[in-house]
Amino acid sequence: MKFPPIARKLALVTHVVASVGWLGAVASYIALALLGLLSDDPENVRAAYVGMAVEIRWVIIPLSLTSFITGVLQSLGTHWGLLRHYWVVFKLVINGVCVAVLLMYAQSIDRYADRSRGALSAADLDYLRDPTHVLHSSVAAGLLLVATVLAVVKPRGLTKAGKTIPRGLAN
Amino acid sequence: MDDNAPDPHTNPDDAGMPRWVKVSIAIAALVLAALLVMMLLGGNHGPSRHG
Repeated sequence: MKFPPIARKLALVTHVVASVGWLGAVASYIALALLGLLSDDPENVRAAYVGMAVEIRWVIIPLSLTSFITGVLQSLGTHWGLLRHYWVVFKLVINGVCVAVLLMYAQSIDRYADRSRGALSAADLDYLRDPTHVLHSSVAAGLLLVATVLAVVKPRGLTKAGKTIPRGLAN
Repeated sequence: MDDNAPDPHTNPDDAGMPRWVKVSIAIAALVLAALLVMMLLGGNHGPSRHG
């Protein structure tokens, strides 16, 4: 399957913008997660969790799905193929794992945001000061950084499929 | 002429699995094993935590 040049360029630009935007959004999410974890001010903690829930739903999930879909389209529509090169396969796995964990994680952040509404008791603050948010977002940022490096460097290496299937058919 | 010298026209992509792939797979396996151990030892983590 080959896309016309204009479609390839459009998919490439969309993929790059969504992927780098996703990494940037996760970086800002880490800042909010750290605020929620470390702040002594209940208002700051509440603001952090409400902001995190909004950012996940309206920024991070849309960017992640856009990155995943355009990445698959981009590989299918170019000579790189989806399974020909190790770096493409690695990016596919990283992207897929990040999207899957993100969609599961998004359900739990809503629970935290709901808990942060209203007057916060000491028990509420203990519940909200959970390092899991910093941990999840930091691991995600690390993986997305690796994916970005792979996309830029494009290290050599053909997979078995890439060696046996002619160029352009390993999609 | 050394018969054992690599063919300069051989595409490096045709060689076996590159070292960076082997190292990355080893690191990923170690991380997965560590996660599994944490979950088996009763750590409060895993997909069941979400939702």
